[in-house]
Amino acid sequence: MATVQIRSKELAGTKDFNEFLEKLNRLHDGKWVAILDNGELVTGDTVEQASKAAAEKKGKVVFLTYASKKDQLLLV
Amino acid sequence: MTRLQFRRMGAHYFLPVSLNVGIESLFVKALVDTGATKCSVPIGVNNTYLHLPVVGRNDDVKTATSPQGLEFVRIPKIVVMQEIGLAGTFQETDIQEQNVETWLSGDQIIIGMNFLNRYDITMTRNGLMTIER
Repeated sequence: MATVQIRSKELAGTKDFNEFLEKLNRLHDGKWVAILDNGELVTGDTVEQASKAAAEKKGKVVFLTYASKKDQLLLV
Repeated sequence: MTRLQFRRMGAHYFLPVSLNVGIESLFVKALVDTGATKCSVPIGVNNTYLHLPVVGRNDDVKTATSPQGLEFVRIPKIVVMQEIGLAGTFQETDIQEQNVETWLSGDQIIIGMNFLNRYDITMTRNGLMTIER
């Protein structure tokens, strides 16, 4: 089965996926966050901006998320 | 039988998910939303990474703010991933569905009921969600 590995300094000190996400939410609230295959992290106000920042770093996006500390009401 | 367990984060459950289109895949965080009829991805995610054509539109979708029309795409494969070994390493699981109708909306990637209702799902008061089939 296929595997994916995230390399990021933000993983340091986190024990699982939730802690990692919480750290990203805390550090990058309101931003799209992309983690690249070279371990770099880029952000943008939109997906397109984060993607552009990734391209400028010449990295392939390994993981993408919208970081938010806010409560949510979602009904679609 | 596949059985996965996830821990609540704040008030919600999030899944590590791979959105697969052909040989390309995008690994993302997805919010579990039992209030959503279908899965959903932001328009920007489709335009930038998935590049899937709109295959339909649902008019008069009831949202938190107002009824609206939403276009949808069909994601070839959505796979729930499982964290293994060291932090940051994930493996595909059998919790996966093909050709999932997915609205283009909002700023979150959402796993809605058209995915969730294929599985047995339990949530406990101490913050654990189990997905199994």
